[in-house]
Amino acid sequence: MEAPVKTTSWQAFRNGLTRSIRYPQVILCAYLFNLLTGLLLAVIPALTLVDPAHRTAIQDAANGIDMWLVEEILGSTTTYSILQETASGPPPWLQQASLVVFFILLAVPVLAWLTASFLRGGILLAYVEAPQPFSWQRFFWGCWHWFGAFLLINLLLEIATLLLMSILLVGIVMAASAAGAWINWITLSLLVLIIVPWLAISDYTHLFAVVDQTRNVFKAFGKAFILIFRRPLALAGLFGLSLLMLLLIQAAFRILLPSLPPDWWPLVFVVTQVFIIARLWSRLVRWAGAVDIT
Amino acid sequence: MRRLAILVLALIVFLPARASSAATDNTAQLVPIWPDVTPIASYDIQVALDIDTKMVSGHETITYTNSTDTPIPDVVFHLYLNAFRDSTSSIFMQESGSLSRGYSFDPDYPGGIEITDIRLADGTTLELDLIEDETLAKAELPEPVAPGETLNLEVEFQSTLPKVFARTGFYKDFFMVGQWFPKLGVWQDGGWNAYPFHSNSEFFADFGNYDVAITLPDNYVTGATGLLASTKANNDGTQTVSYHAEAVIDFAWAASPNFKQATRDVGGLEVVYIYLPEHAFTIDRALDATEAAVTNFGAWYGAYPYPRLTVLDVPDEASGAGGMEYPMLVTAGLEDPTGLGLMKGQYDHMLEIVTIHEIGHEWWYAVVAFNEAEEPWLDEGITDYSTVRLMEKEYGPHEMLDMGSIKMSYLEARRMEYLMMPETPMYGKAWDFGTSDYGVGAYSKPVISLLTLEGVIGEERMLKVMSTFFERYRFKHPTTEDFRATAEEVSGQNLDWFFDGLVYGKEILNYSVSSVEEHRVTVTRQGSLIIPTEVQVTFADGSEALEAWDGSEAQKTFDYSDRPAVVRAEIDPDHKLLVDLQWSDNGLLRRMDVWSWLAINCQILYQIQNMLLGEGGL
Ligand SMILES: [Zn+2]
Repeated sequence: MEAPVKTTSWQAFRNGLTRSIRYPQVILCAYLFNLLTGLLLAVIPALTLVDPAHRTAIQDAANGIDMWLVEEILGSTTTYSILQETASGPPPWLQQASLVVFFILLAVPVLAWLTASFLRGGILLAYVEAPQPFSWQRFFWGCWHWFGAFLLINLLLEIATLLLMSILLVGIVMAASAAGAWINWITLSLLVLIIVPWLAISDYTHLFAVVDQTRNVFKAFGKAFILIFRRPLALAGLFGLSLLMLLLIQAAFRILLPSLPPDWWPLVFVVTQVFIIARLWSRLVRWAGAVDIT
Repeated sequence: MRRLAILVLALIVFLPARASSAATDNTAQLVPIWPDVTPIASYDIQVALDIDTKMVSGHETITYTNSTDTPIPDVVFHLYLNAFRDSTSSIFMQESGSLSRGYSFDPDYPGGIEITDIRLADGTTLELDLIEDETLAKAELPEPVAPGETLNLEVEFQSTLPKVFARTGFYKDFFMVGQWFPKLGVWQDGGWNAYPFHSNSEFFADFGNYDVAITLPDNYVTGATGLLASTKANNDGTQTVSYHAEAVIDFAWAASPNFKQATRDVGGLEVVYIYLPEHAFTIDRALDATEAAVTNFGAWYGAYPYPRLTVLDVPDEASGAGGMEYPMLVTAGLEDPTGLGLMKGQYDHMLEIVTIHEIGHEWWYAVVAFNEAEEPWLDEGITDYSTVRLMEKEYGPHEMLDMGSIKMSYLEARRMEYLMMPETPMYGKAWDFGTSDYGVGAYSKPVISLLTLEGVIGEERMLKVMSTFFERYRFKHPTTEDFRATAEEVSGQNLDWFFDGLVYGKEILNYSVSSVEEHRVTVTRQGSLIIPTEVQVTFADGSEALEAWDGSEAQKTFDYSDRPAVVRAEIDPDHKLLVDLQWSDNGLLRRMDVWSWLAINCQILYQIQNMLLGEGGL
């Protein structure tokens, strides 16, 4: 059933690398959005940490996970009620900290949804139209043009993902309790078999919308769905290679990070930002490479 | 009580032998030196192990000397195994909910003990009544035992071992035989100090000599309290192994056809590690820990007084038998902190912790024989304090668990438990505690409190207190008040805060620096526990002041109008007071530490950025 001339996974991956490097503006723009969103959210914990930053214990905390401090935080509800005698429940600072964490946990998916839906049209347009020279105007036109459509499809995909994941999770827990630990390897393999195609459908829904210049995301979704049955091996290869790239980046970082003195924050900041950019880049490579397998 | 293993040193000299008596005797070419202790309750026991019925039956001759000044009209025995006859009827089962040490009792394999005959040396039969929940039995004597007189009893008994539960029993062909023979209580202050077997409670007995002959299949390897005196082949597929021990308070033994043996000489002491082949990888680790314990505890407290120390491994499925101390014998075994069989000691030192703890009991249980039922904090607390110190010294830091970013020391684990229930008194009978507050009252809080005491009086003084206490009460039964008298005398300090506040009381403490102004520092005490401490103040020119503070007022302000501006103040800067509920509020800066604040925010930002990427965002 396959058409005669096909791009292989490896070619697509290599083209993805060159295409993503050809447009460093795209990487820069995506990174800046990530950084600014992160900073926006980080302001809240930073403000709540101003008071604790007057404690000398902040110096221990800045030096990495301090088990003594962790224990005091875990025990703080007990300690607080004993020391206050009448009080029950967590100390006010812990309530505040829990609120901040809760807020961030809620805000992150929302901001991720907004920024990804916005930027993705422009990014994919640049890759689809490669090797055209980069134009900021064209980039932002792409962002704006597909913003609404991508907001919708990402919301639907997110809901579907949550449903899928909760069903899978229940299945895994039931399987693991019924059988031994070996079953985890089987469920892990099954998980990959489900997650990768799902990710591919999500990627290609966006891509087909841009390639076909349509905002009818349901049509694009249909094409993506057909594609994973048409080119399963090529897609698996591309996703495998980009996953490998991500794993290598992760591994390098895992080796590097523990050797940094945590309170030497300017260095830590540079290294962590390099890692964020590398992680972002591996995703853009996949998107840019996907253009070749359609 | 819980774990153990052992010890030390050089004073044990093996003299060239007198000729040994039995022809088959293969161990006694040297005459070991035993501690010179007048025996009070000695046992001569001959039993056979039936590996099919899991029964140990036989005969014991008890020689008991009344060392008190009151006549003794009756005898009271412990029949500990009767606690395991079913899952509901004994006090032990009711208190524990038939759960012990993480394992539940299997009612299909119960235990029990029956005295089938008891008579005096002259043949007079005694009438025995089971009392309380039948873990005790009492017999009136025809005539009281006068002070200084000796009583001889001949007892026939049959013990059934449960499937391993609460330290004792069988698992397949492994047998851990503890609390297994009819054993006298302790006659004290005109009465028998003998309680029913409570679930948290351990044991209390007089010192004596033991000769124990065990007949069992000839392919079984044994480990036991004491020294192997002889092994005799019986030509019927069985063998009889005989052990001898002096100046001990109990006798336990284990047998399995799978046991292997590794030995090490530690400064003249013979250390034996009896292990199962599947745990052969623990040989070096167990022997290293044993050597460290014997050597260090010997140096800290006084030499290990017996000629041998046996450390016994147990099967994974029988770990309820592991982590227990007996005289000259401790049981260890791998402990998986996850409880799921996921860890074999590659990231943790639970094996070392258990081994060292149980060996610590050789000093604080086997030699200094506390009443474990009435004052469990003494033996467990002092032993665990010794364990924390030695783990830190030999294996620290993060010696308990070191798994990637999860790192923890044994002390940190104990402090965590303490912080959850800091108002638990340490003093109390074993049954005054529930399962979780027993762990805090007998282990965690004593560790935290004794280390605090060490911080206050200094390490050297503390070791002097402990070694004096050990020296003074070897082969005796000291109480909390004996410890108090020794500690106050040797430290030269009034230690009410320790004993009244922490041991008997439920007092707590939180010291903090509550404000740092340009020329004033205010410190605050929360809680009623008062321990002298110090406040370290740093000034803008880098100079420092170290102020002593007795903590007696709830708040105190130090004035520095004649000095440069204060930049920082910290109370108890060396963290000597481990009982302080919050160290995080001990130090205060006049201006915030922007650098550290940025370092933490940098990490938080990175986590958020990662989460944004992970959520499919950019
Ligand atoms: Zn113990």
